[in-house]
Amino acid sequence: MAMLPSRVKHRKTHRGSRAGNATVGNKVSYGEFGLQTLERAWIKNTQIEACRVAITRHLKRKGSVYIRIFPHKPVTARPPETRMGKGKGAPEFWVAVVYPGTMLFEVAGVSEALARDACRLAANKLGVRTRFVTRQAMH
Amino acid sequence: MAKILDLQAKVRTAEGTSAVKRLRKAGSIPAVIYGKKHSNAKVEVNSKTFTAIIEHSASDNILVNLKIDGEANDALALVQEVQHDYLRGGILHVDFHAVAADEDIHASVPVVLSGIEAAEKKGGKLEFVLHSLEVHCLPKDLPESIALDVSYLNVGEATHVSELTLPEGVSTKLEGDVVVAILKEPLVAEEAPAPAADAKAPAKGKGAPAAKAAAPAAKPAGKK
Repeated sequence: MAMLPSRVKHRKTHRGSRAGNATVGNKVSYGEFGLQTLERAWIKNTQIEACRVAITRHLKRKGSVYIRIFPHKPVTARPPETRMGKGKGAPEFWVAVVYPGTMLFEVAGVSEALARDACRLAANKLGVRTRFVTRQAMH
Repeated sequence: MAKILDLQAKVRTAEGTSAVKRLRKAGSIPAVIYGKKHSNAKVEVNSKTFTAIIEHSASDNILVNLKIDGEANDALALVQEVQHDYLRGGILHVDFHAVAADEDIHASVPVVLSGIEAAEKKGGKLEFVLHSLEVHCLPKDLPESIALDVSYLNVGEATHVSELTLPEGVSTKLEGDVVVAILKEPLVAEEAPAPAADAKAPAKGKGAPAAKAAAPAAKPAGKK
């Protein structure tokens, strides 16, 4: 099941700012390899789930997969064919706000070739440019 | 033990974002030096030289003999922090911590595993938990890395901080029961026989149509 917060303080939020680069969550912290975004975006919870499934299936449940982002932000939408006004629309889906440099996923316990291939499959589920990084190259 | 490398530094007058950016373009890395017995100073080091030092070392724990232009004595300093540009690559800034040769320092030293293949031949998958260890020692005793042989591990067993053999004069404040690496049972072994058993059962009992009906039902279950 796609990730979503168990409880939130406010059901609807403003769009917020996406300026700047990632200053936290931009390193390979848990695994040996990572998938890093090079663009800013809202990544849906369903996209995160699709990536997770793609990685775990390719690794054939070997190794470990770490999801470094979480969809904290609710996005609302207005029903079709409604006139303007009558208040803000209902929450439709959840997104994770990512900035250039954010580490999206990390993989550990598998060979680099396998991790690279798994990350490639995951990257295909996303609408942002990404790159594969290793812990050694980053430090 | 970590080698002590000589490094030339200049006193830096450039301050602020744009001035420091110009400095980086000119081929220098902005840095600072501080310590108990050393006054704080802004310095700059050559980018090529420092990058080569970082690339040829096992970790970021490097002891340098910093020769600052205009200072009579060299300063023994530990590379305390290196700020990397995680998006474009390269080094943004360096912190040098001036240390005394006779005073304890603490640093994070990488743990290097060996014998991983031998351990995994037993059927498990090795999970590396503690990538680096915080150690306390004199500057001359600072190790580049801590080696750990995990070939003796059996499936389900873990190796702890207490089992690490630290060089003489090196200690850690971490508890002995902290896990460094664990040889986990692979999850893939449970998955493999399940679809084969499912496919056989309907074929024997109810025949081909029933087997076809069972197949789509099994798919969503597998997804979960």
